[in-house]
Amino acid sequence: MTRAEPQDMLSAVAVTKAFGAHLALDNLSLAVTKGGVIGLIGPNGSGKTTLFNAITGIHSPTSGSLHFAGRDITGRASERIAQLGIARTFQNLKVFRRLTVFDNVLGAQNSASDMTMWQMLFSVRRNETPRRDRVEHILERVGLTDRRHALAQDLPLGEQRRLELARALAREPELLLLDEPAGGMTPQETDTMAELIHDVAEAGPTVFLIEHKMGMVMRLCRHIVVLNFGRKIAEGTPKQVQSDAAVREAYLGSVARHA
Amino acid sequence: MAYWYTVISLMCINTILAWSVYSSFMTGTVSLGQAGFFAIGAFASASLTAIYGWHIVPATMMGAVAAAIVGLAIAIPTLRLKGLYLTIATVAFVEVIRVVFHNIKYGRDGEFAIDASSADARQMPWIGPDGPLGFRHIIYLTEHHITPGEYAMWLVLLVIAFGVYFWVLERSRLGFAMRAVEEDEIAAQGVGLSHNFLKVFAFAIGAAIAGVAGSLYAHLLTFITGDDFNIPLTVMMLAYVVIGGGQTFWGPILGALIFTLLPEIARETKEFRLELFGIAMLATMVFRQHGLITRDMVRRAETRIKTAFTGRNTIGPDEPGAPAPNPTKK
Ligand SMILES: Nc1ncnc2c1ncn2[C@@H]1O[C@H](COP(=O)(O)OP(=O)(O)O)[C@@H](O)[C@H]1O
Ligand SMILES: [Mg+2]
Repeated sequence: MTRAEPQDMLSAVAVTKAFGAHLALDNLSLAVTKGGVIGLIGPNGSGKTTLFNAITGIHSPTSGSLHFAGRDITGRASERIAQLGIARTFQNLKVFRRLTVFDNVLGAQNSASDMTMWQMLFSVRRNETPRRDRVEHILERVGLTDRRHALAQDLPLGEQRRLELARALAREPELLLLDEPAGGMTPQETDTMAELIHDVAEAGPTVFLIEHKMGMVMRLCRHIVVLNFGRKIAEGTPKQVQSDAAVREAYLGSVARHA
Repeated sequence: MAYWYTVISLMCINTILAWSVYSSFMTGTVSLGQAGFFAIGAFASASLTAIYGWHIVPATMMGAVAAAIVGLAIAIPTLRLKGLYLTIATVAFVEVIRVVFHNIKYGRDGEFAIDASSADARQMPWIGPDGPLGFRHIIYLTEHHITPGEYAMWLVLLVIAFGVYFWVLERSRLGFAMRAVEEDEIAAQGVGLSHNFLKVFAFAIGAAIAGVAGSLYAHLLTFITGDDFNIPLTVMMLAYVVIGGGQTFWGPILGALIFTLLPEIARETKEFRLELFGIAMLATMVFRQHGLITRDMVRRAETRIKTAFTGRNTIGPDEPGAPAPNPTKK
């Protein structure tokens, strides 16, 4: 695929991202169609997070273009892209550490960006019952109801990951990018997270998921894209990807390197 | 008594200055430029009242506007830089402003000699900044028969007004947005908040607030020079916030009050003012990183007050004042 198809929710066309001489993304093209969970896998350093950063405008690509819902979002300001309906979580946790769990979610709600400064100044918290109810609902979904008054920094890692998800859900996005949402979690926590992602995708947004835990990826995803050295080396259904020679080579190679 | 009115006025001015630092502090920006905005507000408003005969209220507003415009001119190019560069740029700005007001001369001749008995009795005083001699004869208050007590009262009212602004701000979505930018710019952008816009806005408001303080100061002192607005002063303003606490608007009040009152109450300390500052700053860094008043303390106090007023704990489950279920808070 070399150009953006209008029916795609998200597409990358020949995206390259260079850090100095190093190509973190190398002429990468891919498309994410609407609905369900799409996986993005690949060995460490293969450019998965870099792709998310390019999509969300944190690093604009060196060349190539990105399209979301029929719009060119290449090089747009990060907050504009968020306002268009893309939400994400961060692999290296970026919760608002000294705010409470509740405020993390409340403040992230979609309408915040559509308000004028005056509306924002006079939108005093206690008069926002519907908003607060939505926050409660989201906290319940991710299982953080009991923790609503804790400061985000006091949560253990697993809960911080769920808070990141809650904050992204508060945006009511069309496209949800999850960067290793189960990273560092225990097997039980991972199962809970997998179920949660399944439910989230069922209920609304298209989920684009980076994850190393293969069991979870294979179970959740209808389509998987595999990166290695910033290039797409395979894509297809979980079955197709699992039996792909290039994928086996990339993973075995990386296992051998890390061993 | 008049002396204490002056002390009260100075406490008010220093509180307003501390809040001017706090405004951009809320978005994680450390400004060392407040003395510059303070000077702009002082010279601009004093020029309007003394040279052109304006009323003090519009003159003060114009001082604030002038400071805000200069604040925008500084913030827009420099806030894109990461924290430290901005801080350095703001220090340089203070020095530039000081030198400008140290050398500038404009204005008009006064109508009558201030002191007929002095040697140069026939010479009319210069109304307006006069280079290194400074801007003398800002006699608006005497001309309009405003007593030190009345002036102090107006200043207290103004402090309350600014306090209400910050109280509302901290509880509003805008306040959340600023805190989110302070916590993590990338994550704030991720939830659709423009960190550039919020930082520039908070910085410009801070500049305007310092401009207001400048006007109040000039009219209180009646005599200002460029050298009054120096780097030690700008560091002191930051210290009010750091020592008092930069997590809520209550902290800067306490910081400003302590360091205005201390030299008045314990006269011996006046001489060692800067040294005391240094020690207090160090002690804060070591023992109370978040300053004397923290957000947690304010929350607990609010809960207690609410409980006292209603006789029972009416804090809803989602109120920020309700006790956190986990006791591991810092
Ligand atoms: N901000 C950056 N500056 C320099 N190099 C980077 C930066 N971000 C990522 N990289 C490099 O790009 C490559 C891809 O990284 P990343 O996208 O984080 O991989 P993954 O998420 O697949 O593990 C790595 O070699 C990494 O060192
Ligand atoms: Mg990564």
